[in-house]
Amino acid sequence: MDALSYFFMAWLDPRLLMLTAIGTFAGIYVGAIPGLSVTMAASILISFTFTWDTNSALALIAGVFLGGVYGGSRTAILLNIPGAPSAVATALDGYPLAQRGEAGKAIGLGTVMSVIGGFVGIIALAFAAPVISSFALMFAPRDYLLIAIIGILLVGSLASSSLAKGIFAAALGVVIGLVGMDPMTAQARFTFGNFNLMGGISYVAAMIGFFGVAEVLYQMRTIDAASVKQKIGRMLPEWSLIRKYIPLSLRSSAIGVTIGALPGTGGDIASLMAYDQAKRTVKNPSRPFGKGAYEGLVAPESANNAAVGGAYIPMLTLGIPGDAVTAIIIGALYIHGLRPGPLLMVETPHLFWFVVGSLTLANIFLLIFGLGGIRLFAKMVELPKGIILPLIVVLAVVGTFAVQNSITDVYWMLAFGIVGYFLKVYGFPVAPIILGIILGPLMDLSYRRAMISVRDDPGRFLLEFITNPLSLVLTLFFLLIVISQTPIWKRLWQFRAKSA
Amino acid sequence: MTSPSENPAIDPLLSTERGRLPGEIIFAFLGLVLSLVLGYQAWTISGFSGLSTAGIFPMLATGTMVISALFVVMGNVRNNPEYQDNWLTMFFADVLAPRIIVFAVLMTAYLFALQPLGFVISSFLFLFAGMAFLYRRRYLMLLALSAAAIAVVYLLFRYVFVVILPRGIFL
Amino acid sequence: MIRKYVIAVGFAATASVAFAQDYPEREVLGVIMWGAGGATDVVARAVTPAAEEALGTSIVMLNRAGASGAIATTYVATAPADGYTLLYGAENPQLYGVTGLSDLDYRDFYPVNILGRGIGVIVAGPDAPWDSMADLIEDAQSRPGEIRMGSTGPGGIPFTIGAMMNSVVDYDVTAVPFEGEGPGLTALQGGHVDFMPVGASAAADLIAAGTVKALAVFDTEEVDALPGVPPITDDFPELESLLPWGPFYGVWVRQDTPDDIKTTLTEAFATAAAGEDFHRIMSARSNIVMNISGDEAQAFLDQWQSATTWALYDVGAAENSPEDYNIPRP
Repeated sequence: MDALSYFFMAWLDPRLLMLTAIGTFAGIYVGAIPGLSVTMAASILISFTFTWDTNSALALIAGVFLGGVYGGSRTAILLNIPGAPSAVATALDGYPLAQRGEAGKAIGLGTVMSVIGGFVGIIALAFAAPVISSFALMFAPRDYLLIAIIGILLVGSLASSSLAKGIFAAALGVVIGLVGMDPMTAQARFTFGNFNLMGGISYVAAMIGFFGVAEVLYQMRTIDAASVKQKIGRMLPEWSLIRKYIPLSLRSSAIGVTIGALPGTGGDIASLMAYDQAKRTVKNPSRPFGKGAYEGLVAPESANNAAVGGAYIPMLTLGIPGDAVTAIIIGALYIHGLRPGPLLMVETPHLFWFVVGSLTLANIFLLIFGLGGIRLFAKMVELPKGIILPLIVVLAVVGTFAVQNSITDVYWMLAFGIVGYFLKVYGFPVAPIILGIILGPLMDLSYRRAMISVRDDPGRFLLEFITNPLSLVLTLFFLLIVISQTPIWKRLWQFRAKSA
Repeated sequence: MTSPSENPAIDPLLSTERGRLPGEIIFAFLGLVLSLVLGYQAWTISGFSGLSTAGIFPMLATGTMVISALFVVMGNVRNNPEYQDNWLTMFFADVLAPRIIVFAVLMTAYLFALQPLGFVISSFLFLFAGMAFLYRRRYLMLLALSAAAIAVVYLLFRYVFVVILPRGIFL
Repeated sequence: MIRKYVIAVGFAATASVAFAQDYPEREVLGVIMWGAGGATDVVARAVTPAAEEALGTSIVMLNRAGASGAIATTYVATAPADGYTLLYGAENPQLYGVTGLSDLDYRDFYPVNILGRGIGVIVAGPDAPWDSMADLIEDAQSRPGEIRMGSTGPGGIPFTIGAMMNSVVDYDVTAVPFEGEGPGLTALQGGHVDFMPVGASAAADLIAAGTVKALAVFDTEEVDALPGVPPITDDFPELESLLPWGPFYGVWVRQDTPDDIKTTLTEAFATAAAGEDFHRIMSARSNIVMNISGDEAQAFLDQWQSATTWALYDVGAAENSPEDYNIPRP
């Protein structure tokens, strides 16, 4: 009873209702601008709320968080520049859709799937938080290593024309991700003695460079071609289409919640893994993956919004941030005089239901704001290239600079853009680079942590992959993916299909 | 051109969908050189002194780069060129057309002007020059559009997102 | 060329005079050396609203984490010394010399305010077989290297406390480094490491909830925030000469900032750090408010640096000798 009244608190108080709406709206548009991350939006907005009461702050953040994660996909679909790392996977099929004149439909479908994913995340938070959080604690360093390795197998799916080029790109990404001071030993890696490189290369600079600026240069080749005429009939996706993808959306959301709840992994990895899962399990996609398959849009969009609910789980039950945004929320809760931690649910149980309620509300606003204004956005793609390309460059510069006020990052962004152009021309996929940047550090740190824990004993290291139940499940899962990818298996599959 | 999926005999590591482009071998070779340089750097971090050192993953990643770059170079050498003329002429006609060079130079100039001129002036100059170069008509409209776009971006970032953009002498 | 240079210097000089008179005439940039949501970040964001009010301008906060804060430290050290770039930092720069990270330390900056300090506490998993630090050390001696200690890399709190412990008693554990105290404590709760020395602000709530067990406070007496946890000196009285020791947080500007700007900033932050809100947040995080500046702060910094660097050096945990950086032996 009490729970219910706290759940609806944000719905009934006009001020809280407004704040949630404003947060969601602002989140969508901040998230859509590359370089302006949800993390940044949250930290700016939270500092406004220091003098407010806690509930207002939490309502605003819930909106910003859900809106921001979703907003990143806008620019990914329209311009092939993911607004945030969690939208990298969305660009893979979203942008080809826009190039076919289906930008509006892509955004519409993405919105609905984000909302479904969001609800799955919220339901998991509301009813399974204690179970999921104790499950998340079970993940040892070697399990994180396995997750990262399963994630890196995605290269096989991303490399369309040549596997060697895909592997090269992913390995290059891992190297870029490792640049800087090693957090474990403080040794400099790939810094060439340059102090500016000690803090590493901002992955936002790499993302904007390899996707955005490289794409701008690539578009120069066809500058005189007319812009793609967008189909602006029905923007709302048909119910039959939505219904068809609900099973895939639910599967992807489950991945999103789990990865989101793990401390140290978030929506970026969740959406890439969901994309990989879709590519492996969907037998007859609407179009080949990477060429504008609806499935390739549904999976990451569901997963990254489901990861939001997931990220709240360890934060509210254990006081452990599930990702960077929840880390900021924890800091804000302290400033508001609360003590986020294992006692939060005991001392302030109403807070939990209030958060669940405002997230639900924000998710509803997401549906409304997300489906509105699509026509205008779709029209953006129709602007003449001669006008839109220089604008993208300015946006890329400001976005990169905004991450940490660093002009060096902007130079990197340009360098990555030019290299990225050549990579694109010569048939290297750029998405594996981002995959490598995101997963490289996770692999490196998890592997070394696992190895140090067994005092550099390789025998014990390998043994633990089969003696620990959780690791064993992940190991088997990894082997299954590898075997199903090998040519022998494929040939067997084809043979069976033929004889059947 | 045949698609590799229709021809399972092609080694997936070496498959390419099209003929070799001008400059492709050199690019792949540069990739190999970069891999080797980075590989040496990775080795200097901690050598082979242990199983959990800071250098393990760098060596693994750069080793992978070297091997995959070798495959790419080999694939390119085996592949037939898609062009007949002198490769350099074709390179500047197709891969690195003058328009792309000019725009890349414009972008570079823009970045280096950011600090001395400040964000507002350098971005305005770049935006107008870029649009004028690519769009080549209705210059007055472009001028107004550039000014408006910069104003929106500046006000948004400066006052809403409180990002302190590079300041020049005036703005 | 030379004339140009002279003009530039003249221009800069007049500009800085003009700045000093009506400081602050625009917003100030506050660079935080650790990530959003971390201990330093929370302290910085807790003091800033009141400092903005006292200063009459807004402070734009920027998290520039990386290289144990050396990136942010260098950023502020190379920004103009006009009082428009502040460094929100923790204790780390005092160890840059001996850990070989950078030649900078807080002697290159003026302490506007040392806001407060934290206390170290050694925690173990809830089911750990030890009830005191002496139990733990004894167990570690009987099976060298088998016990896993959560760490945060060289120069971090676990690393330093571990080194200080090693200076009084000989034992061998395996240090598993994490990106920060939070991830380390998460691994501790999951049983992936066995114990971890951390700042009390990160662990107080976990101790209260019983999800981790406190073995000892790294101080000479029991502290209010952690009732019932014995001080480390109960088991190891030899540590007394090194204590009190712990992380600290504060605000710095470049040493060569004009004096009147230093004064303006010092006054503003002294007011802010005396505020009720700030005290409430600090005590919620089990931190102790210090609110000191100028010579008093400098003396504190020097004492901390000399005690810590020499302790690290003596157990072989430092890369360079403190002597090379003119740090006197305590």
